[in-house]
Amino acid sequence: MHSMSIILMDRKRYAGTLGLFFLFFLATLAITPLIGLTHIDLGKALSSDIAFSDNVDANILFLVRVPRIFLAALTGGALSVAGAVFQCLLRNDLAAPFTLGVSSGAALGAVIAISLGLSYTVMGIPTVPIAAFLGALGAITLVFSLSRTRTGEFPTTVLLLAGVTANFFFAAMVMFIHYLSDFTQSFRIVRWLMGGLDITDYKTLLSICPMIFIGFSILMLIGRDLNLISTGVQSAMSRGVDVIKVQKIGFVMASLLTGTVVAVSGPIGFVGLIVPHIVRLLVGPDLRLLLPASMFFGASFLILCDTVARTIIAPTEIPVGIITAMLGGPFFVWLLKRPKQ
Amino acid sequence: MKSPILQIRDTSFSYDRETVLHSVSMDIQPGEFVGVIGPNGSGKSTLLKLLGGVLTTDPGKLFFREKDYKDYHRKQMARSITWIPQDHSMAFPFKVSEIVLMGRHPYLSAFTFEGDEDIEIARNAMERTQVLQFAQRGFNEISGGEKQRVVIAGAITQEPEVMILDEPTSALDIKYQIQILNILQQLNKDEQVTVVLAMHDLHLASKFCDRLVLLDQGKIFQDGRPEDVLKKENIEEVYGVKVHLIKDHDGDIMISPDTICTP
Repeated sequence: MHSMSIILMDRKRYAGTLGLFFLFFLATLAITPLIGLTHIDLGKALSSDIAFSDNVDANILFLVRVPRIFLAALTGGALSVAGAVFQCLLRNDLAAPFTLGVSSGAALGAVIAISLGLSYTVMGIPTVPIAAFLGALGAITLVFSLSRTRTGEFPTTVLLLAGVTANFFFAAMVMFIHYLSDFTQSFRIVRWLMGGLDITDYKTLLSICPMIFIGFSILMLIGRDLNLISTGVQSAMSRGVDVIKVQKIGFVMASLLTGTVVAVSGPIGFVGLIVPHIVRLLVGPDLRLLLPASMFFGASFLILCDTVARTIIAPTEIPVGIITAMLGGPFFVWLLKRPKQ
Repeated sequence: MKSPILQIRDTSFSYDRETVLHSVSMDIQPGEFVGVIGPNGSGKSTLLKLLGGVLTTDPGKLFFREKDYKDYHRKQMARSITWIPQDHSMAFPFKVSEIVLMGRHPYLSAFTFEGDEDIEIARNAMERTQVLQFAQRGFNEISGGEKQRVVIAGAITQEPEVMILDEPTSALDIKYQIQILNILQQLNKDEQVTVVLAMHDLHLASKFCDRLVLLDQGKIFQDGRPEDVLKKENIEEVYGVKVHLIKDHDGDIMISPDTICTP
């Protein structure tokens, strides 16, 4: 077959591939609300004959499960996109919000906001997410400047050490604030730090949507620039990429995504590491496809993890962060030890 | 007298406190094939990175078509000048065709895909450097010589007027070295692409370049025609080895160690 037609076929496949990821996401979205300790009769839940307040099935479905699943989708999608962008900007496939300490930076920001007694939004401004965003941005700035060599590379060992250092440092700060806070705040902090998707309502969900939308759209706009940066900073410059600008935009937007969802769901680990890897194996490394595909796949992945968390030892629900960490730990070891080309 | 396509004026450059270039000045004319030679650490890479616009310095030092580098947009610059690094390590499994198509970046706006015309240009470039047959292979799976040809195809896809290459032949065996140099010579002859490249092999340098710039400890030691630069006394002083010069049947210069006199 002629090589040019092979390239063209790849481009035509773009929409098709993305469509499959979207269908998978829709399927997850449709099926998982029906899975759970309490059986839901869908016909009854959707029936308009029974008043909503008396309709137990509808209450469980629409007030408990659906918002929780949407939060899982937003969180999983946002963390996966952020992970893909961090991996690309640092040209290192072990980078992710969690391993870089960006999640704990966001956690510190959020904990400071909570301990100051700020409620989730003050006069329409989502204060906790903004504090988490600033924490995430501080963390990535720290790790970036600690681990960059003179030639603009990010050696795995240095990067991971910087990430571990940032993690310990932010965790210590969180503990310090936690230790000083009073009982109610302390409870709020602990519950949130465990990483859970069960503390939500539609208002919170709606409030984080714009930030996720903005972060994702802007990252999509610089997709080709990000591809080039992942092949080397100086090569990218020579191809006409404004590297400093793109790095700034990329780090800020990935931090915005991380901070926003960490503020609501707590620091859920390893999603941003695992998902970009799996998706890259399926669709290749081009961020124009990798980012939206990771968004859908990450959303489905966290919904499924959370479904396991809700049901595995029902009636007890375990925080979803435990499930992702149990999957992510071994995956991380595999990434470290796998044979390199 | 044509006006120079590239100019570097009285430029010094240092990383941290270590100065690697000392007030270097030179003009490059359109269509020249210039070899930059000199020992390891003499500043070849740094000079090429400055000319390629991937290292920045103060205004008033670097000019493309007599206009300061600083007055060009990055994309505008990339449509005229391309720089090719010495080694090509890829963190992610891009395909050869994807790497080559990335050369179209300076011609495309945000979030667009490469169109048919871009693909045609990339295809021609791959044909030219004979990498079309592995367009769909992973870049990390091919050999060093093949990688170099793929990266050069990417640079051709940029449709530049000037190509700057940092030791494109150093890691390759003689077959690939000649292949790469032939590709560059063809571009230079057929499309008047100005070529500036760093080289270690002085014999090949004398064969392919019409001008050599010999660097020594960050300074231009000599700049001129190969036969004027590759003099016994120049080589011995800059490289610190005793040599004798032999001319091959084309009159190109070969350099051989003077084993008896070597300390």
